Parts: sequence; C-alpha cells; structure tokens
Amino acid sequence: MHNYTEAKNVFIDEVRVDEYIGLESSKKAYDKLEQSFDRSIKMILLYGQPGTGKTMMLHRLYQNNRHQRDLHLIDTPLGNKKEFYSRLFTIFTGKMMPANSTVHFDTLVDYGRAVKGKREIMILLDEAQMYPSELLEEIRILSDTGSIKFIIALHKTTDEDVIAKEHFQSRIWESIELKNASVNELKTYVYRRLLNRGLMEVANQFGQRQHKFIFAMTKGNYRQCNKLLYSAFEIMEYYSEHEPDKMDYHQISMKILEMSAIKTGLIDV
Amino acid sequence: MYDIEELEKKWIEYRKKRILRYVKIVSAVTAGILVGVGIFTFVGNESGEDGSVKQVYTAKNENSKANRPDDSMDSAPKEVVSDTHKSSSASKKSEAELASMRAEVPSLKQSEKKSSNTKPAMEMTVADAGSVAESKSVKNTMSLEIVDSDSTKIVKDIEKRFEESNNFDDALFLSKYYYKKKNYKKASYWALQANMIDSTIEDSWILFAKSKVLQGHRVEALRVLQAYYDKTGSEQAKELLDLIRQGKKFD
Repeated sequence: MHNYTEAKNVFIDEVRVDEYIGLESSKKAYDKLEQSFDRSIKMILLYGQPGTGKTMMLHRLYQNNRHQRDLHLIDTPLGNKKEFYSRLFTIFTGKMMPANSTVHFDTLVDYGRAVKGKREIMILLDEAQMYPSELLEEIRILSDTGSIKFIIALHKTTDEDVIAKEHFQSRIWESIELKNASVNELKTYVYRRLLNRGLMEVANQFGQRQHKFIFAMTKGNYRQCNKLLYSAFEIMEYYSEHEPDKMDYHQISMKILEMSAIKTGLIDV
Repeated sequence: MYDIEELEKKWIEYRKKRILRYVKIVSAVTAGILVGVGIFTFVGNESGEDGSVKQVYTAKNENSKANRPDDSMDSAPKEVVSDTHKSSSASKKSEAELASMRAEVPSLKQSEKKSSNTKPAMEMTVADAGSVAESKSVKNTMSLEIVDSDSTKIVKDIEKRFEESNNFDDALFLSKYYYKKKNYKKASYWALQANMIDSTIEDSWILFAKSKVLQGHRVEALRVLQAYYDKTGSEQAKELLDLIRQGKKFD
C-alpha cells in the first residue's frame, strides 16, 4: 500500500528547518552567509525570486547559530515603526518593552554606538521588501553604528525590491543570490524530501520523464514544485481510495502530473 | 477534495489541444520540407537544362584554382588590413551617427527610457560603462520616499557625514527631507549638491526646480528644467514645466 497522504504532507509549503535539503548551490550560499558572521560586514543581502529558499535558509542559519552568537531572527515583517523599534529594544536589552512606553530611534542608534566593540548583534531580517523605505533607511543608519549587522532577505521581482536592493548598494558588503534549482538539483530535492520521511517506494516512482516534466513546469522553483507535488499526491490519494483501477503503482502517471499542473495553474487550459 | 471529474475534463481538453498543436507542427514541417524539395528539384531541372551555367561555374572554379598560386603572399594580408580599417572607420562613423541621432531625437530617447526604466538619454552618450552602471544603481534609489525621522539629530549626522563621504544618497536624502519639511532653501542646496555628484539623476533636477519655484525663483527653475528637458526629453520634467508655466500646484 502506498502512502500518498504522507507523501502529500511532505510537500506542504511551510518552513521545516529539520527537513532542510542542502543542495550544491544553496550550500554554497549558506556557507558564505555563515562565514560572513566573522567578518566586519555591516549588511549582507540575500536575494532571489520567491520560492528559491531564502526563508528556509535564514531559519536554518538561525537554528544552527543562535546559541553561539548574538543572533536574532525577525521572520515576519513588523507592522509599523513602533513595533520594529520595540522588537529592536527586546533584542538589545533582552527585555520586553514596558507597556505604554515608546523608544526613539536615536536611542537605538546611541545604544548601537555605545556597544561598539563590546557586542556584535546580528539580525536576520526576512521579507525586507515589505518594509517601508523609511524603515530601510533607518536600518542602514543602525548598521552604520558598527555593532549591528543585518542579513536582509528580499525578493527581486518587483520594482520595490530592486529599489530596496539598490538603496543598500553602497552599504552592502556581501550580496548573495539564490537561484532556482537545476533539473538535477530539483530531482535530488524531490527524492531526498521523500526519503527523509521514509517514502522510498514513492520516491522510486519518479522516472526521468516525470522529473523533466516537473522541472519544465516549475522552472526549478521549490515553492512551485511543492505546490505541484502536493496536488499530484492529493489526486493520487483520491484515485487510490476511490478509483484504484486508474492507478499505476510502479510509476507516477504523467496524466496525474498534468492534472496537477492544470489544477495549480501551471498549465492554462 | 475538489471535483476530480471536472479536472479530468480539463485534462482531456488539454490533451486534445496538445495533440492538435503537435499535428499542426508536424503538418507545417512536412509542408515546409515538401516545398523545399519542390524548389530544389525545380532549380535543379532549370540549371540542368541550361548547360552553359554549369560550364561557366566549372570554368570559374578552375580559374580561381589556377589563380591561387599566382597571388602574392603579402597581398592577402594587405587586403585584410585594409578591410579592417574600413570596417573600424565605418563602425566609428556609425557610432558618431548614432550619438548624434541620440542627441537629436528626444522622442526616441523617451521610448528607450520607458523600456529600460528611466535611464536619462544623456547617459547614453557617455561611453564609460562603469559610470553608466553606477548612475543607474544610484538612480533607482531616488524613488524612495523621504524619511520623516523624528529626530533632527540623524539629519545632522547625515549632514556631517556628507562632508567626508560626499555620498549622493545622503545629499538626495537631505534634499528630500528638507523639501518635505518645507525648508526649500536647504532642499535646493542639497539637490544641487546631489546634482554636482551625479547630474544624470532626474530626481535631483526635479527637486531643485520645485524648491526654486517654492522660493519664488520661478524663472530660474524654468531655465534649469527646460535645459534638462532639452537634453533628456524627460516626461516628468515636461509635466513639471507645464505645471510651473501654468502656475499650477505640484506635489
């Protein structure tokens, strides 16, 4: 009996640090980021199209280094300046902001200057393209204090993202781009994800043709791949339960992959 | 679970379309091959009928073969060299023409600018690729909103920093800041500073002109903006020029 429900759950699009698949290209980027911790760099930019694994990489980085370093992760964009300042206050002091109180930006800058040489605070900032430009300007000023290092992840698809990237251009010492996977990388990704959950039998149902189709549909984007395969296994789950005669348990049918691509909008009928 | 029958129907539709497309491609390729073979056969027959064509061709070949040893070894390089000169001078000429065309056709520049996201045409005449790339990167930063910082201390810091850094971003930031604070004298001063660092960036021109108008120096603003418009054909500059001329308000 094939466990398509379990296989489907493998491809739920969520951050699971323990299931991080270190592929060749992403491993290089990860190592580069980790090495940058020890260098006197104010800002590091991690950019790439949505679905190339930026969030996963930041979480992995945080998970592996948070006990050894003064490392903090802001994974969801904060609503406004006040919230952002409050979060920085907590990072700097280790305490929650007292109720009904505010902290001024120049206080944070003064703190950054005061602890220069004593502390090396590192902040991982995900979805930076969601922040207003004025906040980005303040992040730049904070990084200029020399005691706060920012690792900023942002998309590179919209104009705003490009602006954000350009905005930091003169302050960025390291710029790392995450790209979509190659055919072979995507194949390894699918295979390893299934294997991590002990689904070798399902993993072996993918042939070269199936992998090529997945790559052609998703262009090597991990998020699109997750969507496509989640939907494909959902269809298989349905067939094996209601119409088992339509199932080929030796190899994943191209029909099902195509149906999944139609359902997820990758094929426009 | 969604409607699997509906999905199956869509899939059948998709397959039909794919097969149809495949058939069309195969038909087109087959037709192409047939036409090609037809033309080849026709041409073959035509030349076959006229024996003189073949004879002339053979004679030419023989003639060229026979001439080869007679060609002096150094005449060929000479020809190559002279050809190279010709082509390089031609390319120089075309470059010069292109440059003059760029300068003369603002509408073309405008359309170029639209497609390449706002690079002023005057940059196009600058041959230094590095400086173009640099100005492009700075340019994009211009569309950032002004920081309405609560503290003037930060602004003072940036002003102080500018004395050493001479950073374009900082100058433009300060200009935008003062413009927002309605301090138009300082806004125009910092716009000018930004412009002196990189005159190809539109925002500094626009900010300078706006600040000048708001200080009452309408003529000066018009003169500067008109000069910029003449050079670049910028739509934004044109809009602002019209607004100033009509005495209308702008942001």
